[in-house]
Amino acid sequence: MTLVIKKLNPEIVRLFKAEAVKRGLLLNQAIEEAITLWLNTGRSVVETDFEANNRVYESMKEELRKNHSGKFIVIAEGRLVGVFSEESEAIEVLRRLGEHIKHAILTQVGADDERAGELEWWGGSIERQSAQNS
Amino acid sequence: MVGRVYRASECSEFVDAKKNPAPTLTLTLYSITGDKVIENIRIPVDTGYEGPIMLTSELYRFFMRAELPRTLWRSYRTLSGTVIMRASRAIVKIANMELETFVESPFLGEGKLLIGRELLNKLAIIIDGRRKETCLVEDIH
Repeated sequence: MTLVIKKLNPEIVRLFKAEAVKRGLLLNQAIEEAITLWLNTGRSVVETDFEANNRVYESMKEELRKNHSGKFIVIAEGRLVGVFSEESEAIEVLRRLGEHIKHAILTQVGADDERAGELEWWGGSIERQSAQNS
Repeated sequence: MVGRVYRASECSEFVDAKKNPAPTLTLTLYSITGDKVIENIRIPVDTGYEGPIMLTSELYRFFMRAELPRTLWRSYRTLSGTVIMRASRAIVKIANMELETFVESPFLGEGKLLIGRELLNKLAIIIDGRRKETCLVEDIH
């Protein structure tokens, strides 16, 4: 069948095409494989630490902004580990969590919000390359 | 005309590129908990990158124990589209200076090593293309 999809992120499409070429797949084969993989993992009950920590943050962020603006928070293992006045206290807690923790969230409530947004990377660090390789 | 004299203190050689070598700065990166991740690495200077330090995804994973929530990540507009960057707190040591900063890496894709304007704007450097060196400098009064 033929499928036309609009409004795809061109960067993601570019990366996807490059990966398909690297794996020696035609685009339709790669898309089929990706759809199959997504359908299979979409039902997975296993949540990664990354997903769990972000889920906890999203569920609490309004309360954190209201009651703990300017404080540092640590979220790990899918729970709020603590709220701290000083960054050094939060870092010490992170240190004590142990090496087995591969992902945790450390953020200063409110202050780090100002950091977010869209910035520029002018050329995207363009490098010389032979036209034949592109 | 402004007359100003600088003294170069720490210099880094350019790194080879396909044709035109790239200016670099030498730095050491620590996780926010103080673990040394990589020492004396020469990272290309990219004045077009508005962020702090970009890392490859392989290096970035050592900083993921102090990551910002996903909704606070930045996106960057490039010639070929928008790139979303994950971000974590880190400590960078350049010469005798130690600064808390953020390191970033694309959410999708491998990323690369770059120093951007968010960090460059805290430093005084000279890019000496003829000598193929980038140097930290001090004003001579």
